[in-house]
Amino acid sequence: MENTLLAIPQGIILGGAYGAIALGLSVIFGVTRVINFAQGSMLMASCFLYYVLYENYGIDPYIGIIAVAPIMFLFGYAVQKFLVKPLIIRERASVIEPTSVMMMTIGFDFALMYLFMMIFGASYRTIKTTASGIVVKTADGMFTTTLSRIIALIAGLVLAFALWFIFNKTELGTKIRAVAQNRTAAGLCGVDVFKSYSIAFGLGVAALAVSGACLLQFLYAQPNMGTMFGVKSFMIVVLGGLGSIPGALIGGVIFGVVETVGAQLITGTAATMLSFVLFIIVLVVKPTGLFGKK
Amino acid sequence: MNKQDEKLPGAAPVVDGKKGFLEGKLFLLIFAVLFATVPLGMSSFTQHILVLVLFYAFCASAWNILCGYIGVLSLGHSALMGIGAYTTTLLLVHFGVSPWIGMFIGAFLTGIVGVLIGFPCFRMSGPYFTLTTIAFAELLRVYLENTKEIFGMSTKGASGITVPYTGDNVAMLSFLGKIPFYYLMLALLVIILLITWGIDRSKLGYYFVAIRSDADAAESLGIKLLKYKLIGMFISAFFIAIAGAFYAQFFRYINPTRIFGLDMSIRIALIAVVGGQGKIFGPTIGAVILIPITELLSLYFGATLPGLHLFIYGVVMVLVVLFMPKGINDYVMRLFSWLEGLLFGRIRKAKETARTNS
Repeated sequence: MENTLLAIPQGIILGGAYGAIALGLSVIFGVTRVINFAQGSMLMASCFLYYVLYENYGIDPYIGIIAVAPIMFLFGYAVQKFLVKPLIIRERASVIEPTSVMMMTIGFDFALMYLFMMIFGASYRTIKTTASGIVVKTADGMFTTTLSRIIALIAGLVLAFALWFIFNKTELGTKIRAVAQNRTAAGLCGVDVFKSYSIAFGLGVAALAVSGACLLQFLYAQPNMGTMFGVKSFMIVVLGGLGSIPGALIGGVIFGVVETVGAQLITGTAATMLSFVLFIIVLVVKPTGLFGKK
Repeated sequence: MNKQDEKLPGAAPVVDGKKGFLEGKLFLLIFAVLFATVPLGMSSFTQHILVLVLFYAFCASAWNILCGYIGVLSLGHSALMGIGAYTTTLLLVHFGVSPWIGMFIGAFLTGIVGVLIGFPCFRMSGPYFTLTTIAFAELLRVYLENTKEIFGMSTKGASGITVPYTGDNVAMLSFLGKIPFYYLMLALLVIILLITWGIDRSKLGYYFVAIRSDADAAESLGIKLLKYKLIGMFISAFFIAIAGAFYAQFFRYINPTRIFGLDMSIRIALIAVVGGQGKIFGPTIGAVILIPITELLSLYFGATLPGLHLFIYGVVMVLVVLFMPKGINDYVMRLFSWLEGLLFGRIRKAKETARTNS
């Protein structure tokens, strides 16, 4: 029983990291209505950038964010501008292939994942940083975790707040929300629709890069890592409501808790399956998710 | 996208009001002969690749019946293939049922599972549908990877099942060489192409295309969306399960990771999309172009540049979606009709001049 109770904070911490990854996906969908299947590989790419910075220049990933997040922002901006935009324009003319953007991002995911496979090989790479070495304990020593995991949770919260702030309190955010609500009307009011899309896409990928920095501290970098996080972050985002920023975080925490507590009560496998079942039930009962707006 | 444009490449003007028998079918015939003779005398490795070409052409065609014609994107077809493969193999290993029979038991079972999965999935549209199909496939994969037995039949979890070799025996669908597998797969491919052709020209096909073009309009015309989607799902699941049974017999080894994994689903979808979704020959053209390239690349660069062939897959996919929205099929068909126009146009012209002179 004690183990079960202790699993809850573990799950919340893990869920914070999950939620942070899911944020990017949610932001992109919320604005552009594009499901970015390349999400997982973009996370992987940013992890490798941090890894290279750390190995070659000894830069801690937390500091590396200053360089990697803008790079990933530009990367996302470019993907939207050169790959997604032409498809959106084409689909506006005919609704024959509503799935083509999804297909494109799947292909892009493959290309990116295996590009890194060719460069770095399939081996698992970990780094030992200061934060991952510091063990945090409660006074009675019952609950232990590492500082890096706690930072990941805090980063998730900060990231969610930062995104919320950008979208709700700045002029740029107002424009982006206007575009998200009604593309045509926003365009008529003089908002550059596709620039807003590109910025939103860039922001989503940059948010991903930030969570990548936290993740690499206690996980590893490997070209296939994206697949696992990709599928999981879809489920989290759908659970919380596609496009909802708090939904992504809360969805992540629900997932983290189900996984860790489930692993204590039943087996880890059953817990993973339970999370899939939970996902399907939520989709069937309330496709907009727990916090999604219609 | 209108039906008229999709007719076989009899693009040359019809003068007599009557076409020559071969017209519009000539290249089909050439390819049929080519496919029927090409593996003979080839090395075992080449034959292996040729079997894979047909196998993926078949899988992508099965996927195409649901996803190409109705216009939904399923990334859960690997699960359906896996159910077919596991049913056939378990029946063979534990009850000694011939894979010929097991194949159809598996196919019917998978069809039913497909319909059951379809009920919740088809309530969703667009990305939600895709995500649900992924979730179902992953659910089954995780389950099988960690389950030692189903109904008392050992499945050996993630380590997979080795299919016992029952000798060079037609009755047990077990052959020593690759050639019999090749012709079996060719026959299966011809069957599914004929069925796709039949659907393409039937009312069912028109319903499917109507749903793809505009689901709301189709529904308002009285097409029951769920019913036709489920019919599409059943046909698609049925055939992909047969592909799974073939896979088990051909490789004589199945495991949940490989056959239920997302990679397999994506690969099937990719081939169909690159070739041309919603077209009879699209998936086959996709497989004929992609599989040899990727197999050869993985053979020559597998050690030095692992993943190169999958990288190419991804790049081709992006380029095709961006620049050839109708798939390579469209270009191939146009090339054929141009060639035929050249060929038959000359004959017809000769006839015509002969007639006007007389």
